[in-house]
Amino acid sequence: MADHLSDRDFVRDTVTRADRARRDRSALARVARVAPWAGAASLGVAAAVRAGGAPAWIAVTALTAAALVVGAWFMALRRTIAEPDAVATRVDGDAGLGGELRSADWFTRHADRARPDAWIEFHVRRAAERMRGVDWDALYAPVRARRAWGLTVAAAAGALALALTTPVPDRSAQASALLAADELQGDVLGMLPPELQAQLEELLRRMGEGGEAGEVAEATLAELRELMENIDPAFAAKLAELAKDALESAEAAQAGEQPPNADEDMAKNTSAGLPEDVRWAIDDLAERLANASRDRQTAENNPSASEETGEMGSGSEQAASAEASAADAQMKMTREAAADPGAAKMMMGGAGAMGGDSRPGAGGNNPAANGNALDPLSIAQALRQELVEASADTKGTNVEMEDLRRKTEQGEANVGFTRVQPPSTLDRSRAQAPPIVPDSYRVLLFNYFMREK
Amino acid sequence: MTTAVAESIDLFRERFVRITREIGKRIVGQEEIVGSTVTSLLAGGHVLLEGIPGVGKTSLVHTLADVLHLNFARIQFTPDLMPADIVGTNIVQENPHGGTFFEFQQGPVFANVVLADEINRATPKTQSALLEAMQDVSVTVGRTTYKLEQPFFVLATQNPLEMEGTYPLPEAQLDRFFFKLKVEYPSEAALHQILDRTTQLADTSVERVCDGPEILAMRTTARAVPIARPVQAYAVRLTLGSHPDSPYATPLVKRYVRYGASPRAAQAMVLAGKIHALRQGNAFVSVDDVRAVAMPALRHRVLLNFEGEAEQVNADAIVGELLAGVATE
Repeated sequence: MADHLSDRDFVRDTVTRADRARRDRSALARVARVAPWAGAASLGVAAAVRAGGAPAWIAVTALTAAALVVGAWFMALRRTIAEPDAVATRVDGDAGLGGELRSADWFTRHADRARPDAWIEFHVRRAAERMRGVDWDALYAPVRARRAWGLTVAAAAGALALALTTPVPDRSAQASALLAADELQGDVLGMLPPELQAQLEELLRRMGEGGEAGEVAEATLAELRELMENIDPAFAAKLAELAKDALESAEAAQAGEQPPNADEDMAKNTSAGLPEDVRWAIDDLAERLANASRDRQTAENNPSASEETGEMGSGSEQAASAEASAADAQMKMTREAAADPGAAKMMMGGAGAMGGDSRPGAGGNNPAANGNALDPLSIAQALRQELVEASADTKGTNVEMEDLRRKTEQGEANVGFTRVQPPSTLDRSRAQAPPIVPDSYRVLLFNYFMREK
Repeated sequence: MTTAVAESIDLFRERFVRITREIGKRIVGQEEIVGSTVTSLLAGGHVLLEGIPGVGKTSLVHTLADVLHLNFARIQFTPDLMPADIVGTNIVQENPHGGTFFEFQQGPVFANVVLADEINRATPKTQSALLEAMQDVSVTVGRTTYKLEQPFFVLATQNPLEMEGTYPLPEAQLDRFFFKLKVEYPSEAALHQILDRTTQLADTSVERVCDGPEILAMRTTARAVPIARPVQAYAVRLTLGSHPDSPYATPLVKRYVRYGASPRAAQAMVLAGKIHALRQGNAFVSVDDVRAVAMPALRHRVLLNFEGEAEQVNADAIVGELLAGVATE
C-alpha cells in the first residue's frame, strides 16, 4: 500500500482499504455458498419446463432472475458499512494487532479532540509500522471457491441448454390428436350441450383442415383450449366411461343378456358427475334416512324402549330379567346387613322406608309408597325436622341412636366461613409476602442489619 | 521526541520487571498478586489483600517495602485500637524554661508503605482513621493537617474465615482501595519451592531495586499513556453495568446487586489498564488491558443485596458475567 502517506493518513487509508477487501471477501464467500443452489434451482425449473412442455422463456426468465437476485445480494453485502470503530475493531482482530490498529485509527480520526502529544504520535507511528508489516492481500485474499463456481456455471449452462433445446409444440400434431379423440369419443361429444358441441366440431374441423396458419391458427387453438377448459376433466372422463359402458350394454343386449350390476352402475353414473360436496350431502341424507327407518322398526318391535338411547324397557324380556337380578341383589344385601345392626339402615336400598330413589326428582322415599313425594312442602318439612333433631341432638323420628354421637361431633365443629372484604387497591405487601428467612441465614441477617447501623 | 517515549516505556518495563523479579525471590507462586500489587502502587492506589492465614500476605508487604527502599510501618488492627494509635496524637512536652507545649507525635501512618494487618478486626471508627490518609494522603489532628510523604501506599489484609468479632469494612473505605486481591492457596509446585527456600540455608535476601522518586516517575509515565475513547467507553460500560438499573446490567447484577461500582472503579480500570499496557511495552490501552484489570478493580465495589448475601453469591461471578456480557465495541 501507499508508503508516501503520513502515518496518520496511512492508518486511515489502510483501515479503509482493508475494510473494503474484508467486505468483498465476506460477501463473495457468502454468495459462493448460495450460488450453486441458485444454479441448481434454475436447472430444476428448466427441467420442469421441458418435462411439462411449457414455453422455454420461463426457464430463461428463472435463470436470469436467480442471477439478478444473487447479484443484488452480493452488492447489498458489499455496501453494508459498519460504524468506523467497529470496522477498525474487526480489521484489527483479523490482523491480530492486539487493539493497536483500533486505538490508532480512533486517534487519527479524532485528531482535533486529542491534544498534540508525543505519546499519540509514537502510538500512531508504531501502529503504522506494524500495519505496514501486515500482508493485507494475503489476509483478505479473494475467495477461490472453484468448486462452488464450477457447479454454478455448470448448472446455469445446463438450465440454458435445456431451455434452448426445448421443442416447440407442433400444432398440426395437436390437431390430429384432437381429431382422433373426436373419433374415439364420438358418443361423449354427443352428450355435450348442442351449442358447445357445434363450436367444438367447427374448431376441430378448421384445425383438421390445417389451412390456417400463424395468428389465426393460434387463435383457433386458444379457443379450443378455452372450450376444453369449460369441460370438467372428471366429467369428461366420466363421459368416456359412460360411452364405453353404453357400447358394452349394446353388445350385451344384442347377445340377449342383462348386465349383472346395471342398477348399481346406473346409480353410480347418475351421481358421479355431481360435485363432491353434493355427493357427500346425498350420501349423508341417505344414511340418516336409513337410521330413521331402523329406529322406527325398533320402536314397533319394543314399544317401551327409550326413543333416544334404544334402552330396553320394563316390558321386554331383557328388562324383566334385569329387574329380577336387581331384586335378588337387594335381598342379598339386606340379609348381609342384618348381621350388622349399625349398618342396616345404611345398606337398605330400593323400596324400603329409608331407601332413596335414584331417579331424578324423587329426592327421598319411594313416591309410590307415601304418595306425596312430589310435594316440595313435605320435603322441606321433613328436612327441617331432621335438621332440628340433629342440631338438638335428640332422638326423633329421623335420628337414630347410633347417629347421635356423630351428629353431636358435627355440631361442635367451630370451623366457619368468614367473608372478608377484598382490598380495593393492589397492595404488594399483601400480594407478595416477604420470603421466610431460613435458620442458616440468621447470622447473615443479623450482620446485614448490623452493617446498616 | 518519540524516542523519549520509547525510552520511557522501556524504562518502565525494566523497572517493573526488576521489582517483581526481586519480590519473586521471596514470594512464590503469587506472580499475579505481586504484579497487581505493584500495579496498584504505581497507580497511586491501595490494595486490600484477602486470603487465609499463611499464604504470604504479610510477607508480600514486607518484601515490597524491602525492595522499594521505602519507609515501612505495620499496624496490627485489634478491637481496642484507637484512631490516635494510627494517625498520632498531641502530647504535652516541657521546654527547658519550665513551660509546656503540645508536640505532635506521628503515628505509624507516617510511612511510605503501611501494612494494616487484619484491618477488619478494628472498629469502624478506627478503620475510618485511614480514610483521609488513603484518599488525600494527609492526616488531620486537631486543627492541623499533616501531609504524608509520597509515595504513600496502604496494604491491608483481612482473613475471610474468622468472621467472629470482626467488623466488615464500610463501603466508603472499601471503595478507597484500588484493588482487592484474593491471595489463593499456592500450588503443589509452589509449595515445594516455599519449603526449599524457607527450610534450607537458602539466601532469601532481596535488593532494593527502586526508590521513592523512581516510583513517582513511573507513576507519571503511566498517566501519560493515551487511551482511545472507545476503549475508555468500555471501562465506563463495565462500571455502569454493575448497577442493577443500568441498561448494561447483566441478569446477575439485576438480581443480586444493591449498589454498583463507583466512578473510582472506572478510574482504577483505566489507570491500571495503562500500566498493564506499559508492562506489555505498548503505548496505548486496549480493551484487553481493561479486561485484565477489571476483576480486582470491581469485585469489592459491587455491593450485594440481602438476597445475594443470603445466597452467598460470589462477587467474582457477577464481575465475570459483566466481562462476558458487556460489548467491547
